[in-house]
Amino acid sequence: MKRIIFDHFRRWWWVQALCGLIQVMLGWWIAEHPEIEFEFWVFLVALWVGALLLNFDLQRGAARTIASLPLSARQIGRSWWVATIPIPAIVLAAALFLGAGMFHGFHPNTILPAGRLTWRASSSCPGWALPSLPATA
Amino acid sequence: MTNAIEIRGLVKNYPAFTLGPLDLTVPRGAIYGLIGPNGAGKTTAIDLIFGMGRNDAGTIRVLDLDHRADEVALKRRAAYVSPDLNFQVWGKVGRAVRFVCGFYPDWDDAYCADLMKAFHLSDTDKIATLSFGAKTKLNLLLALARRPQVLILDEPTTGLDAVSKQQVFAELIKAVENGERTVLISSHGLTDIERFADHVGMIKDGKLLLEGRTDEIVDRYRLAEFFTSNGAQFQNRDGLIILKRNENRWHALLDQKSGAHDWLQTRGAEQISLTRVTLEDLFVALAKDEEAK
Repeated sequence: MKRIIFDHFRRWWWVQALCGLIQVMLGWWIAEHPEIEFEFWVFLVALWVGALLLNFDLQRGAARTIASLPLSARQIGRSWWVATIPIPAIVLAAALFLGAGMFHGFHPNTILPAGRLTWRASSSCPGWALPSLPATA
Repeated sequence: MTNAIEIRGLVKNYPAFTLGPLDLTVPRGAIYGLIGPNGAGKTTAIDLIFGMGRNDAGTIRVLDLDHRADEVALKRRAAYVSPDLNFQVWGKVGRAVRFVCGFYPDWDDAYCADLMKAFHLSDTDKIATLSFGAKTKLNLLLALARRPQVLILDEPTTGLDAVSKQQVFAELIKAVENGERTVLISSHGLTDIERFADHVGMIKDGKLLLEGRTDEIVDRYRLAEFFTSNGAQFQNRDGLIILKRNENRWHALLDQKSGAHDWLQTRGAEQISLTRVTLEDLFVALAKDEEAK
């Protein structure tokens, strides 16, 4: 299982890193403009990037190739789920918070929209991750 | 255990196609050629043998392991090669090799390096830019270097030129020469199978038409040419398949064990001449007979 997860990040680390950087910048921007409620769309990126990368792998025939390795279908499903759903969602959401926090650090007299961001993160991340979990069983 | 692969009563239903009921026996150490036209069910059968997909009925045992319950153990001891396997996701040959080798404790690095040389592949080759033949060789390399006990090859030589085909077969023969490995190979190239496989199974429309040792099967059947002067008519019967008729000259496939030769003589067939069949002759005749039924 670990091999599949590590392999996914070894191949896609640059996309994830780029998305992380963008999330930091967007977090900064959200904190700078708290009057604009933009975070829903930003969290969508965090939620979908892993799934999009997996879809890209699947389109290039990775499913059949990995199915020929000594792994059960359940192990493959769970590995892909872990690599593409919770990890990117949590890490990218954390990058968003980091960006917002950095802005607040440099501008301590502003109000950090922490409640709004936390509500959005806590509602959307599990809302995405949990329904997809039974598919790996 | 004398059989490497044992299939009993295998059935897989699709909306427009049913595989089976299929019984198939691949003895240990054999090179077994599974032949059949497009859509006969070869790939479906091979996928099921390798634990990829669920059968609707029947049992499949590979090295005494159940194909579903012991899926992981089976995949560790057997290897699968198909043009459908695509390692392009890993970018370069070296990365694909490093990824795959981690799953196999018996991975043979030295053998892998030898195969790389023999197949003219290098660690830095981009998989996307490899020719179709080179991609097939990479698949074969990744399968052979893990030293599997059973090698399952689905159309491995499709699209290969004559030289590449010979290289592939040469490596396969080397891999099985000690008799401990079993190879199940499906192919349209009947000449290759006849030369390479010591056992053969013919499949059509999901049903097994014939199975056995290649030499015994080829020896058992003959192409018969005969004449009639008494206006006798012949139709397909047990051990006799009429292939062609040109006025009083007949061509047929004859099963020498069936007594059809004597039967023809008693019915007025004259100047019966028998020639050796190739697997291709035999397969075409049996397929036609099956269609006529």
